[in-house]
Amino acid sequence: MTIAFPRPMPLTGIGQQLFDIQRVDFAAPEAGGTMGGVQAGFPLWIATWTTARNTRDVSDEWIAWLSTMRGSQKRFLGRDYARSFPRIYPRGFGGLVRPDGNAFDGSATGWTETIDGVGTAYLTLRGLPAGLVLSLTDLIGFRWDVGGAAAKSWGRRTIARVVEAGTASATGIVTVAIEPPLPYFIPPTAQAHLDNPACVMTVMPQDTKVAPIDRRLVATGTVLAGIQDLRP
Amino acid sequence: MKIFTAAAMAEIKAGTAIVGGAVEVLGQVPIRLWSGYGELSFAGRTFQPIGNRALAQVSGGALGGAAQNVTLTLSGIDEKALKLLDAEEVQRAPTTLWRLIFSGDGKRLLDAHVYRRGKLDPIQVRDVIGGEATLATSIESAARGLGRKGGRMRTDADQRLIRASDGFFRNVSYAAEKTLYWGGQKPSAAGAAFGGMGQGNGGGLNRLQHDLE
Repeated sequence: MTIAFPRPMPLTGIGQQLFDIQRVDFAAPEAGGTMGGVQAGFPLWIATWTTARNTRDVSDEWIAWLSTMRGSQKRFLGRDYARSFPRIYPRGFGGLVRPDGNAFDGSATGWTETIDGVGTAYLTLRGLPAGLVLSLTDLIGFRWDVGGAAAKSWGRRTIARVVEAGTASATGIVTVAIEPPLPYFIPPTAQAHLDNPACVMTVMPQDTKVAPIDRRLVATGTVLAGIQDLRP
Repeated sequence: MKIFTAAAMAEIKAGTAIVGGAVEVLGQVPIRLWSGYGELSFAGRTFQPIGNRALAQVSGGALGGAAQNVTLTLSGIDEKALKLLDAEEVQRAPTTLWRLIFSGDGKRLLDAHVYRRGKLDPIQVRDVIGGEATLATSIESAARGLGRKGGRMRTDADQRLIRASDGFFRNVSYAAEKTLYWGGQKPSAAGAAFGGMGQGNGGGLNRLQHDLE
């Protein structure tokens, strides 16, 4: 079977996960309590996964998957295992319909982002089922195509995290606060979606380590560290 | 004194500014890089992204007098930065470093001003096996590099570039380095600048200078 890159992660087998936004600051603390500071560069998603005590099949799958990454050469679709779908809908969106009566597959029909006076980003999604709930730390994925690539090949992705919850109106519109604000170069044609949000990531080889296998022939505690590879 | 725009100043005051850097190396083919993602156009130029925080570190964290050089550390593998490896072309090429200030949401470029102009020299390639591959270059600032009448005069080779038969430096194996505070802050005691003299002498020089003024 052909392996496509960026490669999706195996479906199961994660024991622990850290999935967060990395910001690098230059801080200038002063004795008076003032904390001056500027941020160096733009925020990125950073993640560390540790595999659990898995079955032999799952363990083999992870070792093989990590081999295909060829150190840090290949890209993968990093995702938050706690949020494949919004918190209220852990099994997906079966049975939900959009306001126009069509089945809801997780993608919004449109989105707009606004920034308020203090720099908080608010995202408005359209075309969601009426009453759809977005809880805190739910993830909204954005995917678009590499220039020149086939339509809907989704070679570029990023994620926004919901930091102020919201419920879709009867017309299927919801506005939530997100973090980090979307990168400025994201094309307006990018698709916002709530199913399996992911971002393109690179393995950080210095923090990644395959665990030795034990008597059950299972590698427990393999650590995979990734950082977002954000490109327009 | 560098003048920030009002919007950039407000963002810095609020502590929410994002800083970046952009560098332009005017070799035969101009190389323009900046520290973020996606192409960026300002000052009539288009800069290629390297998605690297190195430029940001230089222009955001560096302090010092005008005579000090600025060192840039770039990824040694990035396809855009690799053009710098063609050292013959870019050696001593005029280089401009901009400091960029973005709004906290990363959407608006509030300010871009020239942070340093100079010439690119030298370029060091550093490949650590199993580690990082980096390209370190330093920008010789105008106060240092452009102020010279001729070429560098540190080694026999430098001197022979000026005149092939001039062997004045042929017995010099070590290029001594002396730090002078030229255009920077005046040292508290002249002894600090003219090393090797006692404190008392330094004080005397200061008083002499004071008398002359």
